[in-house]
Amino acid sequence: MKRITLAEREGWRDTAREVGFGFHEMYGEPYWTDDAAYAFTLQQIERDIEDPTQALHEMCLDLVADVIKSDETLARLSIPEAHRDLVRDSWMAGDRHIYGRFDFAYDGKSPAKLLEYNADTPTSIFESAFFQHNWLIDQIEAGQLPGDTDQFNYLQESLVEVFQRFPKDATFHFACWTESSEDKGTAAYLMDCAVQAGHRVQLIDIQRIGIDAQGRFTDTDDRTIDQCFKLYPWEDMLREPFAKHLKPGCFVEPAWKAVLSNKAFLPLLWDRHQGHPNILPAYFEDDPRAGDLDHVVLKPFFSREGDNVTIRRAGTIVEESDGSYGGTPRIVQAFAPLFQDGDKHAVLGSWVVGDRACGLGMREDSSLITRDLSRFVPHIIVD
Amino acid sequence: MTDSNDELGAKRPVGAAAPAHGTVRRRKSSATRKSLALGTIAAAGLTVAACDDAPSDQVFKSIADCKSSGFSAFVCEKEFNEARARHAKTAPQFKTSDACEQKFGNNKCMVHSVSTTSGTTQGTSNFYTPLLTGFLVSQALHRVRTPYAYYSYRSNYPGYYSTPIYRDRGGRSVTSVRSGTGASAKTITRPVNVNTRTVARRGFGGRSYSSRGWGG
Repeated sequence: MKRITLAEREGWRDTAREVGFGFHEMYGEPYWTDDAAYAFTLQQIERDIEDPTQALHEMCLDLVADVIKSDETLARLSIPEAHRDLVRDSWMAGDRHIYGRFDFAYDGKSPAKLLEYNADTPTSIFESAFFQHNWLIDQIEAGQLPGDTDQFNYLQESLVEVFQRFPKDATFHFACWTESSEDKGTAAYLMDCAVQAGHRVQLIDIQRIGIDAQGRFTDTDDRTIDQCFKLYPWEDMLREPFAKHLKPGCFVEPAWKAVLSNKAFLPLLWDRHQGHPNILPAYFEDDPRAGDLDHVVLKPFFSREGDNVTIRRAGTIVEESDGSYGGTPRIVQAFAPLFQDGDKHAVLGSWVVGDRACGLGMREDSSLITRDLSRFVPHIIVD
Repeated sequence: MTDSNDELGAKRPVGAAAPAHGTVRRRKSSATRKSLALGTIAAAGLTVAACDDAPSDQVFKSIADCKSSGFSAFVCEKEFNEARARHAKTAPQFKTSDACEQKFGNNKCMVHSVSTTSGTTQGTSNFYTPLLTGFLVSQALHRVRTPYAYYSYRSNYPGYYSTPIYRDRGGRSVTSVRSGTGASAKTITRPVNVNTRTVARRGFGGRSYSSRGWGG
């Protein structure tokens, strides 16, 4: 595994804007990286990333099946008491899901280590599925990469395929915070995939969702919302005024994903699969076994984009990030070193779409804690 | 719709089996070695200033209604004809007009005659379907102004089809979904995106917002 550099594509920023990728820059800082790539061998991709992703996803589904039987465990996962039945019913009904992204630490030599599972609102699907694919084609055409260079990326066709499994009679609504150009761009891309699968789609701002006298969700045309993709997290929805109107089968990702989109499941996973090469030891902060670990990362259950993460070694804080999750319950996970090239630390985002591992997206940061200014870097397969 | 995990106890969400890989080197990316294209939705996302301005899917009673709403004449005619053809194939069917009218209202049904052959006897049999009260046109077709653009759109989105709409006795718009295959196939109707009255909004989206949104 290595990081290579190459010439950026001429006019790539104009291309990005044309395809709705206005968020290739964030707050004036670069986000998309056009002139570098991570290179893997096919064996590294298949043996060390694709296969473990598939296996871990299956283990996570088994975990959900187990967890929903226990009210105590749902409580431990901070699922509000009033909505535990919703989470349970959503699983029992077999509510369909679309995607999730595993984050791994991997250096090309040792087994990839699972850092967390973004199973509810994973970001960077547009970059991973669409933009990095076209980057590859363009760079081959420009002679920057050999003609048979490959990439681990079946994402777009997998998304279209999974959307095909949803009923087509009702409009597929897409709800997001429309003021965020990143969220709106991502929603537009997923809507496009849904249309390719035969759906009628409609965008709605998450704040504009209404309810009628029967407690059914409504859109801005005063029509019921029967099926809605959301770029908005369950842990927030379950604590908001409309939570009492939630029923299984309406929102995607479904409510049962709340079990996985929550770092608290990592200690549960470790408990069930101790010694597994892809799983890091992890405990709840109040578990005495947490003291056995010397080099650790403390993460709040719901922290996003590296908020309030603390790295500690032999009792001393090595690195710490700020954010809005201070004072909330945390897990303790064994530290795993990230691939490093100079001052760049890389995290692998391994995608699962409809139960199939089907793509990789790389992010890098100058910090050990991957934050919102981390950059997206394309990857290639060479050997 | 049939679902692969219908039995109680089989709680696995629907998924796709992972492709097995062998020793032969295989391509790990999309089969087509050309650029991925985006359709009208993603492109439209750029130009729509506020989501409220986005035209929504519309139901029309006639081709004239459709045209006066700003869709091109060609699109309206094609969509109407396809919805009517689809109606003939997928409309809920009843053996008697009473059974049909009970669900869809008085004088809201039409008869279809089908010739039948049984041994050497020829005859006709009748069945009843609700009248087609409208057809639904996707907002994405608003930008399609020429026959070429229309056929391009349809070939880019092969899953899309024009939808016939019926109004049931309660005044709700319903459409037809075929469930199952072969001899046991049934047509079921469920009310979709029904018109209603919103009594409250802003029940979601009020939690602390990080400027980058709610990504993880």
